[in-house]
Amino acid sequence: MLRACRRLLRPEGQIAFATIAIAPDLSKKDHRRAARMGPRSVSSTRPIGDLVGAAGFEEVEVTDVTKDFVETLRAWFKAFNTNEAELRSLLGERFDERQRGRRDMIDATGEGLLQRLVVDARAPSD
Amino acid sequence: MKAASKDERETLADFAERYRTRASSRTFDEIERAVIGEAWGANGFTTVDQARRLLLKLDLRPKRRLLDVGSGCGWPGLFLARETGCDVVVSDLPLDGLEMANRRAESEGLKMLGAVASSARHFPFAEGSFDAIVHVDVIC
Repeated sequence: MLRACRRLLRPEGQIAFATIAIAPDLSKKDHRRAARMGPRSVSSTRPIGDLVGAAGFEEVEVTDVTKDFVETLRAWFKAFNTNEAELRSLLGERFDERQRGRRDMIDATGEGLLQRLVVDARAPSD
Repeated sequence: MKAASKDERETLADFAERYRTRASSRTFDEIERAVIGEAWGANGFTTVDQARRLLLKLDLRPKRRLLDVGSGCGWPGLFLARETGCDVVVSDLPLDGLEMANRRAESEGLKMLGAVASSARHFPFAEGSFDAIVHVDVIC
């Protein structure tokens, strides 16, 4: 996807995105746990900055916003619990699935397995 | 549009169901305002403050063209267009979300150049079409 984005940008065009990533330098066992506890499709073993650079971008900056991420996760979790009766009637079993997913990600970030990163970069000038 | 992968089909079905459920209660909007700061039909982790941080990285202004990849209902692409006056194209797979983005752009008078049903693997745009690209919570 990053290469496709690079192709669509004009020279010196900019990309900025926020993504959830598996923390670097984990053991194979912890990497598997992180992949299981994170959102679907989070599995890359390469640092995100390397992936962005390999896609042809320059001036790559990566900012760790995991702390904000955990606060947002906790806010979703709390708000859903506050409105549990109504949301459970609307979502059925998916209420528990969503809350379990949030709890897993809160735990995974607490254990240093997952990160949320903001990345920005620039397409080359030619 | 080219055939979607199994993962894309599952995501499509999941989000279609989410949009249908969401439309059935205003409570989702109230929760989103409390958690994210505004209600855009988003259920991810990018708050208004974080969207403003992305804005600072993208040098957006009128006549600049922004592509939001995996836009859902238009968050944060439409928000960034509203804040900066840039032109925006939103793209995602679930049509329900794109229709909601269309309605939101119309109701707010935002300059949305298009709402395009496309996976990130098969963008139907020419090279160099955009000044800036944003995406949030789309896995690279």
